[in-house]
Amino acid sequence: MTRRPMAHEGFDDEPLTEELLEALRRSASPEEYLDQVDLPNRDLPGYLFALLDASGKSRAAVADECGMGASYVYQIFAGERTPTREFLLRIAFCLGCDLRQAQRLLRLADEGALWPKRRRDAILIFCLEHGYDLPRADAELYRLGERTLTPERG
Amino acid sequence: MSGDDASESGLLHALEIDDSFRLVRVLGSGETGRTELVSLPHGSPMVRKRIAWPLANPEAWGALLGIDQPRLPRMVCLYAMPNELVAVYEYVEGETLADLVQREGPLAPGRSVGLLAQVGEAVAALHARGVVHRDVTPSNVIVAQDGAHLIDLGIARVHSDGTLRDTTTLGTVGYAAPEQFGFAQTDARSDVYSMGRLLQFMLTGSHPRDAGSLAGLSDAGAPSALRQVVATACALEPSARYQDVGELVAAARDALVRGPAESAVVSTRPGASAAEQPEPSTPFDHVGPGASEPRAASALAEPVAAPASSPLAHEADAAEPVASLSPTTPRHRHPAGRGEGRSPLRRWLTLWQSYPAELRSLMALPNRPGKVVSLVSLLACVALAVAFACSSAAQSLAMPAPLAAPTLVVLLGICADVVAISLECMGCALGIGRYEGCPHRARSLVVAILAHLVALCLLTLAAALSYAIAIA
Repeated sequence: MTRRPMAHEGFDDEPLTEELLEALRRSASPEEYLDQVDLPNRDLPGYLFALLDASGKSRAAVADECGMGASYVYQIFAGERTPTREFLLRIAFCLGCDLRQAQRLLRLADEGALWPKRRRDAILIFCLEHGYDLPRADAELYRLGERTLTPERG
Repeated sequence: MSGDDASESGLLHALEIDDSFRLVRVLGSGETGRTELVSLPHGSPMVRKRIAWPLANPEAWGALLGIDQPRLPRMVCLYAMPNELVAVYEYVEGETLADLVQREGPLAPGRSVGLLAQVGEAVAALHARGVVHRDVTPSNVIVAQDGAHLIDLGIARVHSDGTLRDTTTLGTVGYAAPEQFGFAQTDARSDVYSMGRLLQFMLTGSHPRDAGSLAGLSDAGAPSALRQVVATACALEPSARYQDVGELVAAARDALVRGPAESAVVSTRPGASAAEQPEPSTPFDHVGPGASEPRAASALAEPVAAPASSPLAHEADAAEPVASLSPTTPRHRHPAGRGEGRSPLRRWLTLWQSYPAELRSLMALPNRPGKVVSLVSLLACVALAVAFACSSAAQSLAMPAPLAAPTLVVLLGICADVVAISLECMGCALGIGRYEGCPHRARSLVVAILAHLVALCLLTLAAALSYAIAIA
């Protein structure tokens, strides 16, 4: 059963990746690093629930807004299925993630992070940074001739 | 396709409801599911119980939806998710009976019976809907400001006629009726058994397992009339118990009013035949009435409702029925569902670990027909064996010696097994009538017959061999 974090439990009190990397560089051995830092044990479902609680939305709303099936959304949140990069990005927009949160979502799912050197990723980063919702981000992608996150209805 | 759409929209609806509650904290978690304290914005706290599907019983929970009984948790909603059934019900603030008794020690008879009656109201309401709670234990009774509340329908089931036994065996050791270990189907009388144990727990202050036998009741100074009520409620054989909760509560109240003077005739079960009445000379009866009389009298004046001293104190006990059954941890419960996969041997071990007290007290009953029968059969077998041995010895010249000895051994073996079987079946023989669904007899006979066939083959082979060697 998925561990759902408490409402007050956030993910923002974690040490920054840069800080951890710095600590790792200073360490003489892997053990030294592992002993001195408290590595957060975060999984994708736990993080998704934290974002869900922060957004005040329900999984039903996520399924509805992202155009995903209810059982698929249920399985993603239950940790039974790992969503694809496109689905994760849809969820990120739907839950009102900022860039850092979206990147963390992608990392937790072992998906490639958004990369400013790629045209489409750059547009998505801009949209996340400016707090666009999913339809608006899709509109922006469409306007600039990129594939939208939500498949176009034929 | 339309079915899929329907289930999709049903799930959407369930997700919407599920996420509308805010998780306050997890009260308990286990393999069978999870119990959480949740709330709606600006709402009072509620308990959300997630029960993994193989164990979930939507019928029982559904029945609770329609019950308006203040002693039962008021259901808020019930919904199905792909992996679990989720029940949300009002949170009852108070202390578990287990904690209350641990803190205060044994309760006075008056208060015990009062609490029993309140639990009885809840159980009776369930029974009226055909639901058997199956886990009436001190941990599942919350003593709030307004009295006792029965919680946790985690393993409740709907009684179905014509089923031989439950498909899942579970319950709390010490409180679960013997049939809950898979011998027969549970029914209202299984809850009567648990309530008897509950009364015993309140009177003695110790877990039924720790109490050793019902004799612990007399040590605790409980009125003998109430001891008889416990004995009747906890009879091994369901038909010997009170047949419903109302009868039990009435008998307990009656015992309290009438006091120990009339303890000998306390079994007022209408319709019960004389043979089904509890034995007047049970070991639990050996206490002077003088010791218990003043207590019973003073008990009447005791208040029934207990003050709720530690709010939220029962959260740990609101946990799922989890953890493996262990004789050393009486509060642990059976891993439900896995009961189906457990070997009969494990089940039997469980039974023998759980009910030695009952069996011991049954063994101690004097002059019961079963005992006489087994004694007579034993004597007959021994006499037969001796006669055969004598005749064998007389004909030793005619009969080859290697055959005479094994025959005697087998005969003695049969005697031993006859004793063993009757000992094993003492529970049935000495209990009032045959215990429903008791597999003692059949199983022991099969084992004995097989054992003797094997022994006979081996011994015949050995005899033939030694005879052949002797001739050579």
